[in-house]
Amino acid sequence: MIIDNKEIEFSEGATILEVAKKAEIYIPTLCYFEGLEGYGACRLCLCKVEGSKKLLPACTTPANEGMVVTTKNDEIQQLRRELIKLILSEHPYSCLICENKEKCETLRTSLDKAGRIFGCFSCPNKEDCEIRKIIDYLEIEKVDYQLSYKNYPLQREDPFIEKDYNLCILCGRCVRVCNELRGIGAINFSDRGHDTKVSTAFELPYIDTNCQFCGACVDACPTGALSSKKTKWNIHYTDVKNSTCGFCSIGCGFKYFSVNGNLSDSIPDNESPINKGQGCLIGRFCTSEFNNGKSRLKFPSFKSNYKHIPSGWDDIVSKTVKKLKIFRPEEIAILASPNLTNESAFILNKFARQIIGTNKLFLPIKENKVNIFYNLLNDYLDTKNYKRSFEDIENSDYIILINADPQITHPTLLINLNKAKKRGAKIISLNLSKYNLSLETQKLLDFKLNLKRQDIIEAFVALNMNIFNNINLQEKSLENAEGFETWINNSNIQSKSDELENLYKELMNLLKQKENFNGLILFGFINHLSDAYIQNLLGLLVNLIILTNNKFHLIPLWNSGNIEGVYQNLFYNNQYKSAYEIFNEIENGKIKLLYLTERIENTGLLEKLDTIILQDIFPSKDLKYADIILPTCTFLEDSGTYTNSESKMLMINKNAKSKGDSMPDWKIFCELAHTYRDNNSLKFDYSNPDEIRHEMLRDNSYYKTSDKKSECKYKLFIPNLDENFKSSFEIYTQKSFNFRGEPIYNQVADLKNLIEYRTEKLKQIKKGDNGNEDVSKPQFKILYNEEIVPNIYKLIIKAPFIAAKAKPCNFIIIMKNEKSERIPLTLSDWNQEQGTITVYYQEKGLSTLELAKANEGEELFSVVGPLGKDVEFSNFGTVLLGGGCYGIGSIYPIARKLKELRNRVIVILESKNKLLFYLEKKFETLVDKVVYCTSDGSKGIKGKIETAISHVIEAEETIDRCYFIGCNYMMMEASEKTQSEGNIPTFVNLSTIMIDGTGMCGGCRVTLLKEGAEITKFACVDGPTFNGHNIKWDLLIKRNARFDVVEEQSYQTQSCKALENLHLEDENE
Amino acid sequence: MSNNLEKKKKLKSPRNEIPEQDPTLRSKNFNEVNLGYTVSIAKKEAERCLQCAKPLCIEGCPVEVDIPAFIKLIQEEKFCEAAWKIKEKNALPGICGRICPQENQCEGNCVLGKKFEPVAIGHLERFVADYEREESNFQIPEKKKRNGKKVAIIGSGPAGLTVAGDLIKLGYDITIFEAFHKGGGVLAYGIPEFRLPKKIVQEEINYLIKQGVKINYNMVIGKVLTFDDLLDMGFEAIFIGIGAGLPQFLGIPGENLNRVVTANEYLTRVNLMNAYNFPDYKTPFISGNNVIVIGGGNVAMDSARTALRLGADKVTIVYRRAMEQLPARKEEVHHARDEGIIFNLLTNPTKFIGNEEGNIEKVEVIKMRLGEPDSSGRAQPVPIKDSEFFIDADLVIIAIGTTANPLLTSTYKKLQLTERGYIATDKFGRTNITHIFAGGDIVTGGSTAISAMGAGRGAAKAIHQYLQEL
Repeated sequence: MIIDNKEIEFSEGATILEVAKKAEIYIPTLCYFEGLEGYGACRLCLCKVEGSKKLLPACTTPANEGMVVTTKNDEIQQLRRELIKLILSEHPYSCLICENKEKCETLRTSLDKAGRIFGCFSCPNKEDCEIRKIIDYLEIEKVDYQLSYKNYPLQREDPFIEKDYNLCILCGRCVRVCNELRGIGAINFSDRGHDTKVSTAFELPYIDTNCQFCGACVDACPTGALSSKKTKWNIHYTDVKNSTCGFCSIGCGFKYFSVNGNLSDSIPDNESPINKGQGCLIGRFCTSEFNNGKSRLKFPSFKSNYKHIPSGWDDIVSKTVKKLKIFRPEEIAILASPNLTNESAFILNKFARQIIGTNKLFLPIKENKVNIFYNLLNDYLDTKNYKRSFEDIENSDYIILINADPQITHPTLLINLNKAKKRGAKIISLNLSKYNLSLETQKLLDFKLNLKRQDIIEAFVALNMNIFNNINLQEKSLENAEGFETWINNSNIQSKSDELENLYKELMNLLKQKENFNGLILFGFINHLSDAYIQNLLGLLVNLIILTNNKFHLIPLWNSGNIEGVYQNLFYNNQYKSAYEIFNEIENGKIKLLYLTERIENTGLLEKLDTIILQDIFPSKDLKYADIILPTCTFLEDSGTYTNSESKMLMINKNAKSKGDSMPDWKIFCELAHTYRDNNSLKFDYSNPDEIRHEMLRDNSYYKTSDKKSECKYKLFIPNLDENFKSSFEIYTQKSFNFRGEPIYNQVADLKNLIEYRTEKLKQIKKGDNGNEDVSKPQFKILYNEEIVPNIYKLIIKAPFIAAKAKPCNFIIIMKNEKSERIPLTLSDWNQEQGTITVYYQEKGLSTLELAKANEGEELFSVVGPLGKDVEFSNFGTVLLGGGCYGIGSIYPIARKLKELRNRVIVILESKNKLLFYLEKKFETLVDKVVYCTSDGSKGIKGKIETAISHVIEAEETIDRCYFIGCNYMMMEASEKTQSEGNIPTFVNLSTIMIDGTGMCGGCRVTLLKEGAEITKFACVDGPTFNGHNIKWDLLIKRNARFDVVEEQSYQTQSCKALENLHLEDENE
Repeated sequence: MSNNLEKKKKLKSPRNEIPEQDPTLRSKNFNEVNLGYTVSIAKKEAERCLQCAKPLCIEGCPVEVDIPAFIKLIQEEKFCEAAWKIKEKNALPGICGRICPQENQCEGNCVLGKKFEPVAIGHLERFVADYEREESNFQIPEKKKRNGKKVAIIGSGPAGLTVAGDLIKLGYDITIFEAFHKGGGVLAYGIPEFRLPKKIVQEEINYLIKQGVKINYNMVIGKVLTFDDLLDMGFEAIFIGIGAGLPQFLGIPGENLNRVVTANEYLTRVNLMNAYNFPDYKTPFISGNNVIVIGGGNVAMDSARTALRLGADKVTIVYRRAMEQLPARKEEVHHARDEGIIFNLLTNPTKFIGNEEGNIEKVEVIKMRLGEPDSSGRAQPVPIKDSEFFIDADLVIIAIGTTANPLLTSTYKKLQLTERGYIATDKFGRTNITHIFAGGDIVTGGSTAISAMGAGRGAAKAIHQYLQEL
């Protein structure tokens, strides 16, 4: 086919858009999203196809042989312009077409931390905005339609995700990704016509729906309507790298963002073949907070007199080696964490077996199953050639989940299951009783059976028997067919349940009828089963594979990220020791030193040991017993590989710097090995994990491709049903999601809240004082606190002392509660009789956000004022005032004072859009003339403050004086203008960062230029009113941005509104 | 055993050191560095006191605590009684035991110190105050009948709190006006948690409140209320103890660069606003990896050690004189050095140099030598020509002292000030206005908490006398 005169090859079924994209031809689109079917809603992708009268949408029109397509011509572009303008009429567009766009962007480098997004500068989508891209492509400078701002309330009540549907353009990407791809369906379109919007059923917060907080909607949203709380204020990163998520055994590809070596965000990687741009709550929203957990172990230390004393690595390594040398090798046991990288596991194996000389390496109890699984594959199939892949899920006809609940343990697999279901696969769940599957897993099922353990075994024995009896044994050379037959004949097992009977009858039929039958078994470990039970069950499943000649696939859903890799590196061709055996030896006193790379939290056991070395990332109950603590790294701070449940080796890249003095596991083992033995013939001086991997692939025979093809030496597993199937019943829940034993939710407050909220364990916190006697009861009651226009709040407080002394240009300092920051706000009005004061403030950061949440009737913890140097006013003649944002409120008292003194007063009110004006009536009745200017021309003059000043100067004879209040950028522009217009005396009210407001901290200092010399003034006591022509604005703007980075990063730790008044029942534990 | 023998034994027994947190550990946390005496160590140390007939230690104490008497009570294991003994003269023993420069005061005068080591009076004072607090065995002095006379105290720092403590006992109606939302003045915003836990300041303020002292927070006198307003409200005497809060600058180029901060700002964020608990507390602290602190006083040591605790890799103190002239308390210098603070002595900054973002990048400094003694008797530092060099820094903290803040004094022109803007008083804290008294740093300039308390004690006497005669 031909697109834009280029001949392009295409594959069957592709749309024009997909073909063009591959050929790197840009076609604008907003509703198209990779992974979803074409939707054809935004119509921006309309193209001309020869032979067709109408323009056709590229996203839904399939490519055809001989098609000739034009993506861009005047007619199409004009149509697109009209279309985007219509779309923009419902999306605040002032910044997109602002004449000052470039200057503004170079000066205002940081994000405005506003609540409501009304322009690009408060939009978390700014850096990567599809709308901006389209506007540049279509060269749009003017929008003829007035903005129809819907004024929906901000939705901030949920954890992790924030919503501002005022930005929504109804592309439907979020709805479709949630419904079609994820199969959740938490959101949909509601209402019709002009009132159409995206919402949950009954407009409930996400937390009260079945939303899984996977973040797919956020990542699909082309505007800032949906944003991650984590990056709402924090879109700046210094580095981004691809890597693999190590929290479960899927191994999703992620892009990891970091700011100066600190992990800041994680977004699923579109390029990853495993998860194709999708993720889950843990990987998407919890990674950075977990990794940056405050209590991370940072310094190696040793125990002395019951206290842990930090020390340097050299010292600790020699102390550790000394301890290791005290005991005979067989008295030393090492617990390998299933979260080690393959490289670290390989080095641990080498260090333990060849340097220390102990064979007592073991895995945590819960991971014992990996050995059973591998032994079965080894004995009955061919481990290395037994291929399994998550893609099999999508292509399966029949899927059996056994003891598996992917929503809880492997959330992203729900996508694959959902796809299979859409293709018509039957999905059933065989599950052990007492445990209720989570809702989203249940939704996928055709049926589920809650069975007793014995029943499942019997069902599979029966299935085995049936197939066995129905195949032609001559076709297979089974080593022990006779033995199996004998066992079957003796076992006399018959399924007792009708449902199971139906199940295997159905399966038998499918196997007979369908030539290319694809069966899949997902084996999960949502609760602990006894080894004997797992052995039998897995054995029967392996038989199923053999008997059906590979028509069934088996994928184990491990609960730890790299259990397969660690197992292969420690036990391939080595003797396996189970945790039970090791624990027995500890009980009997045979093992005296335990080296832990993952906690065991069995204090009884730990007390029996002489020495404990703990290599961990977070403190645990084990810490107390540790003689030596070796702080190590997470998968985000180390490089190497992980092996997932498909047995694929995936690359881990270092994305963040290690915390404190912590070191990667392999490095710690290498250091110990060096010190343990001086003249080492074994290599331990690796400079990076790549070198280790090289050696690992060479030396570990597991990784050698086996040359002998899987010969037909299959034999059948013969169950032993006499064994005891009893096991502990610890159920795996979202709470159990852990890394190196540390539950993720321990470190991520919102995750903890979410889980507890949904399990209804939350209690209303009892509001009360901490009983601190001296804190006198605050007397600053909030009488009114409402958002009057987007992001601008009006606050009225009872404060009689301040009302009695207030003057124009004065400010107050407010603390909402004991933990708040002290923030200065300019006084806008006061009433002596009623003892009230009024301020207008803009929500633009942590503290104003907190203030915005305050309710009427609440008491503020501290209000101090009136502060600031008094300004002298008199009859100056004609005075020009200018206000923007909160400054509209702040110039009001100046206007009133000037009118009292009989000045002619002209006021310019400036904003992005007319919706942002307030107090218009009051100004219009008070002063002689009000001039409006907006950056999109929606009211008054189109332009910024300087344009409006020119207009006023042209119209007036003289202007004797000016006062401007607004953001620093606006005041700078205004001052520059009045200076160039004949040096009209100009005063501005600076809003700086201060603490005390009384001249004590010096944080608010301002550099003035007077007669060429720089002088320093304090905004709090020498100001806040200064001559605008003397201020060094660039310095001031930089000073005001000096806490932006820390503040941005802090936003994610703000608990969501729905949860902030709740607390956990077991918080004291 | 004869008395003589016992005395000899005492002389020979060494001073009992106070247990400290290990330097490597403590430099990463905000817990108190000194762990305090245990009962047995306290008793052992108390035994060393000779109970002199003419105790010189009392003379060394600005508030004249009966030191031998309280030490005797420790010997008798009457620890709470010992605390009450101190409280007869000093309302804030938990604070003074921690931050007084004892080496120049009580302990400097101790007879034992002439040949051997002085008794650790400070440590003992702290011990009994902590003991009393932990046992919650406060003895609240009987509330005296109010005499109906109202006294306003401006500032709740050490001077103000002492005046309040003394006058409340005499039956006056006391109201303290505090500009901040928390009491304690420099004790709350200046001195770090690891040196003086804020809990202790709070407890000692609570002790005054229990006795009937009223504290009004959030009141910036001079702005929200004037001296005349106070008179109108019925206050018959006013004590000004507002400290010397205005930070001094070096007056060299680049001082307004980002990340060049005053010690006042740096410490206030961390101490008063709990910034080290950011973002639980909403005030951010200013972090730096490579920190330079300019100055050699206690505030410089506090800033340097705070920077270390906030995660700095390297902290350097730049001071223009030599080690012997460091004005900081000996114990603080010793603690700072143990924790790994680098001392770059006989150097003085000449220029701050920033990068493109307007942040500090390096400091140009010049080498100094000691010249002739100046009027204060200290050797005058003199720059060595052409000896400039650069030190890299990503945070500079200026801790070269503070001066009087004119916010209040400028609103009342009748009040007589010194040339440098401090309030002029006689030695009893009387100003030129009969009903106004002042004491502490606003009179003397930056000094110690205990001398402010001494001034408060004197002023309390003068106020009492004035109101009696009225």
